[in-house]
Amino acid sequence: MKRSVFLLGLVLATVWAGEARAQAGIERNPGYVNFADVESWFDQEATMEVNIKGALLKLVAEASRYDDPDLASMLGKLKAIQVRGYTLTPDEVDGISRRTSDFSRRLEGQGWDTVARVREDGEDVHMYVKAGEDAIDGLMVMVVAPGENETVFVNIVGNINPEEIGRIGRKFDIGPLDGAVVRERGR
Amino acid sequence: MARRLTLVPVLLASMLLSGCIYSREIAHTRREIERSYPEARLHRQVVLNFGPGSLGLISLLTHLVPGDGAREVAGYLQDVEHVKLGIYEVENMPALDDLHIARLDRLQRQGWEVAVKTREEDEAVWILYRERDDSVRDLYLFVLDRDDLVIARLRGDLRRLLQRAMAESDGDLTDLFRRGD
Repeated sequence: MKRSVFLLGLVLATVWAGEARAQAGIERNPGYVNFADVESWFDQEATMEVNIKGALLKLVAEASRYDDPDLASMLGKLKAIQVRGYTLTPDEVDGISRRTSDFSRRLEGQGWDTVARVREDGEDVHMYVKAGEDAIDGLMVMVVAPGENETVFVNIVGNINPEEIGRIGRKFDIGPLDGAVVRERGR
Repeated sequence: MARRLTLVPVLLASMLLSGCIYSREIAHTRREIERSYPEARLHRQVVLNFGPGSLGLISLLTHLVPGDGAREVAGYLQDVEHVKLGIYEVENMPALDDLHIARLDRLQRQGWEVAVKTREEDEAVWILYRERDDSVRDLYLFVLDRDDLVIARLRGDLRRLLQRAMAESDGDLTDLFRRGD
């Protein structure tokens, strides 16, 4: 009996450790951005939340293989796609814009490069990449759009081909990425 | 042939009598919505609860249907261990911006991961999943709009089934269980 309990405990501990390792694995990735900070800025829950990673991301990649093998191959190199969208009330605009700017500075301090910072028609778009040794390890996009009453945060983790970001946007219906093209530095 | 035709109603009757058309979990979620929105009316269209026995039976029945499509369906069903599905027609559903389903929070506390969660005025979608051995093993889907409520929970090795479904919906997870689009 004691032996069975011991074995059961061992199995449970192994499973738990495996899951914890997998989670820690993503968080240790240099292109990963922890959205807990962003979530704490809002009193309300996100109106849109997307977390595609692990086995689910592999499934999406495999499902695309027949129609679009290039896209499947690109998705196969990604580790995670995270999106948060929030409704933005007029009272919140200044506060969220300020926090987004602070967050941008923090990303820069952590070695992220600014790719675009655009203000157009009252909409602020910040786009950052985390460059690895010979590829991009992560992408972070923040959009504050008071005119649309919304703000959106996107983080893509993994080996990203910068010229294919727009395709990821179209595949997952992520508006801020649709049509986006990031040129690698030095190209 | 006559023997097959006799067998089918017998098997269907045994499924219906063995609780395959009721799911406490789905009924509970439905009641939660009705409590939150007393003015809304949910009319049951389909409620199914198939365990390994029923799914094996359906898989067997699909083998009796001629054609490659049926054989393909039978192949997918072999990987699935449990299916719960509820489809309701919705009337008088107010704006869904503040929709909160305690059942879905509970699933997250139990280790389910959120794949997609959207909440708009006229539609709310939740897709939660659990993975094991590098495969999606559990999927919970909740789609509520002004016309329909769809709740589905699947357990098993869902790789082949989801891969096929995603390929057909062009990879859009939120389109998997929408009706009439």
